[in-house]
Amino acid sequence: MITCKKFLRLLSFFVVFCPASLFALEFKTVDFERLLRAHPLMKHFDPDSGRFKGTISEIIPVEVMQQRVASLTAQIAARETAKSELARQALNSTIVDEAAIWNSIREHDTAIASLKKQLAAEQELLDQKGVPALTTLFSQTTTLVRDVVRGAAASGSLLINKLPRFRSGLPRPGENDLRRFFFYLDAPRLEKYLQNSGTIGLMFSQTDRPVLFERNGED
Amino acid sequence: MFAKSDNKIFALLLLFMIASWPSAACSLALHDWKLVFYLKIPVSAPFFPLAELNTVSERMQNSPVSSIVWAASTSWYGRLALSFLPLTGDPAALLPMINVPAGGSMLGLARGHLTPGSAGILLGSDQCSIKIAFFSDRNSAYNCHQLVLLQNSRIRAVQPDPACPWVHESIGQSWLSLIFYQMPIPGRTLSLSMYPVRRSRLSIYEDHQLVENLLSHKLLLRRPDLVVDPYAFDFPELPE
Repeated sequence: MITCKKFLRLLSFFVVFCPASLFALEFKTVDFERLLRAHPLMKHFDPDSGRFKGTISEIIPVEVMQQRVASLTAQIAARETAKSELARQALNSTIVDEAAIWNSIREHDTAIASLKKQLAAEQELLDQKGVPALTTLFSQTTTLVRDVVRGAAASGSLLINKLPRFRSGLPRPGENDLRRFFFYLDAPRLEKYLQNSGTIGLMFSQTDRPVLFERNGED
Repeated sequence: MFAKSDNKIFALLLLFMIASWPSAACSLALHDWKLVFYLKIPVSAPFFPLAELNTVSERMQNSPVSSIVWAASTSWYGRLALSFLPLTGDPAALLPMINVPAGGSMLGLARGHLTPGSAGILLGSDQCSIKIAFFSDRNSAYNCHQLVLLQNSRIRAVQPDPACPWVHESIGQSWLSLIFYQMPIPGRTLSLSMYPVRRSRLSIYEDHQLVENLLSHKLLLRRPDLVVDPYAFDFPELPE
């Protein structure tokens, strides 16, 4: 009888305490909004443009872009003129230090190649009216998600969290973003998105409410 | 914002446009190249003088060029490559070309072979090497391969234009790339391309149907949205 009582007490102990401790391990509350706001990159977030100021995704005014392009073009022209002068001296005289001449030419050509690369990038951005492609923004948001979500989800627990809701419109797309979107032949993904568009729409309108984050969920 | 019927029409329009958008075969697959074999061989003359012609091509954008005086060691393979290069459509490959022995002073050769105002260009190529690299794709369980022939050379060019004489020096890089599935035979070849032709990569051959078949059977990994290839030249940088 005594043994039976001891067994029942022990059983009661497990029934009462063990599930509670297990549940404590299974569930966790994370305030992603606080974590996200604490991230260093969020200090640069501009809600008006939906981009990060002072980074690769920042929208640059067209006037600034035109100045940059003009400055680079002038630098290239100056280098070419200097090189041309070197060539004139070298071709008009037979008494020249040819090795030194070629060293100078190499220096100029290396600088010109670097300037042309910069000019091509700036010109491309100017063609897009100073709006960098959305890919630049995606690389930054990927970093944010990795830093904020992956760290919190690493415990393997079920997270009851509050998704942040920022007062921000959609980021302004670059000139070529729509073209890039059309380039990818991933119709199944688009169909999947359209099938779930109702659910997605609901979720985005209520992102300040708690959402259950699936354990081991990657998406 | 849109009515339901508008959404459907927009979705159908999107799908139609996506389906009809032309794309390059290998841009559909995502490769993860592993270097399997690599060999660097110094050579006396360039095998395929693509970077050299590209230098002339760039010059032709700013100034007319009437002929090329090429100061380089002659080789049968160089001459063979030169005979095929006009097929690329590069205007520089169509210019009359005179070969002069390499060595000595480039500036001296320019003074000796080019009349000021003739719009001829002296092109020199030395310090050549060929890199042979064989890559296998981790994403296809090492069934997809890429053979690369990469050539480096020091290019020097002189154009004694009296109004605006021009000189140039750069390290030229040209390559040929063959991507194939299991065997480099017709029917298994995904693409054959060369660089540079008019400052960009020229695709000589692409088998879109083969790539689509391999992707649909999951033998190649489909490139996900918004993945930017980290390699500037379609393959990882080769060691020195």
